[in-house]
Amino acid sequence: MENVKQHWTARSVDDFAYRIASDFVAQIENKLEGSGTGRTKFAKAIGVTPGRVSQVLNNPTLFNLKSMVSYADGAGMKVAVIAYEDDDPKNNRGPINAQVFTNCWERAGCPRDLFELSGAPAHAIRQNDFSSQSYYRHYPLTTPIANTENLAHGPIDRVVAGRQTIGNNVLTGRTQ
Amino acid sequence: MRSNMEVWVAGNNGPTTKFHGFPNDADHPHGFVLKHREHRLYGFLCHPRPKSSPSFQLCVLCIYAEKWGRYTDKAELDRVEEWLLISATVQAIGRLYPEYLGEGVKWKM
Repeated sequence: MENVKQHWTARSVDDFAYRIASDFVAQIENKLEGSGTGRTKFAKAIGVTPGRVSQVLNNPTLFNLKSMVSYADGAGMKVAVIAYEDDDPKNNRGPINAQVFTNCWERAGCPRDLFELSGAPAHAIRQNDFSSQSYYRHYPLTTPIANTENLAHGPIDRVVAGRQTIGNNVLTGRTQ
Repeated sequence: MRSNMEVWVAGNNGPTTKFHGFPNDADHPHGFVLKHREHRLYGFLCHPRPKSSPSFQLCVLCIYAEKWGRYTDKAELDRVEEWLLISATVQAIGRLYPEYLGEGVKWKM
């Protein structure tokens, strides 16, 4: 019987890899949507057909590190492969969303190395970083709340997930 | 679908290729869709803890459909808007989040 306390990505390396590749796809697609870049133009930028772009973005298992670098480059981004510890060795809570790392880095002032990091004030977003400015304008910061577990066993099976938002910006902007 | 839902749970508001609401659709302002290829799960967002956590959002997915054309079948969204308001839905959410019942109705949407 499956251990219901574990996150679904704990079942296999493939599941975990799928999830983090899916996060990567979300970052690429967010960037493309934010910049108004269509898939045809994007495909041309990375030297593949639009069909191949759709194929890969719809099936993140097709990614490898090299193609990730290529897709990120085509979107005007870079890739970092990050290992981290989150005090969850059995993976009961799943991976940390990739955008969390990106937002933390931007909040720290986009340091280029550990020396810059040590002197960076919190929330110091570089004024000349147009990509991050644009991102914050379109996607206000939110924080997650891990409550999918109790919802999954609740009396209504249609309820899937909930999340916490900071302030009322998302609440007001989306539902009222 | 689970991966896409977790992108939303993590706090992201896009990409629209994975999920989105219908904020510009006056007839379906509470609608929400979770997407994967041609698969669609339609539902709605609400705020079930209006007192203790007003900004907490709940995503309730109600209907599965396949989408092959360009435009969303409005009938699915009509059904979502109906389900949002019926007593059984309110009671079901209220079982998990008692604040959703009674006072605080104005926060439901």
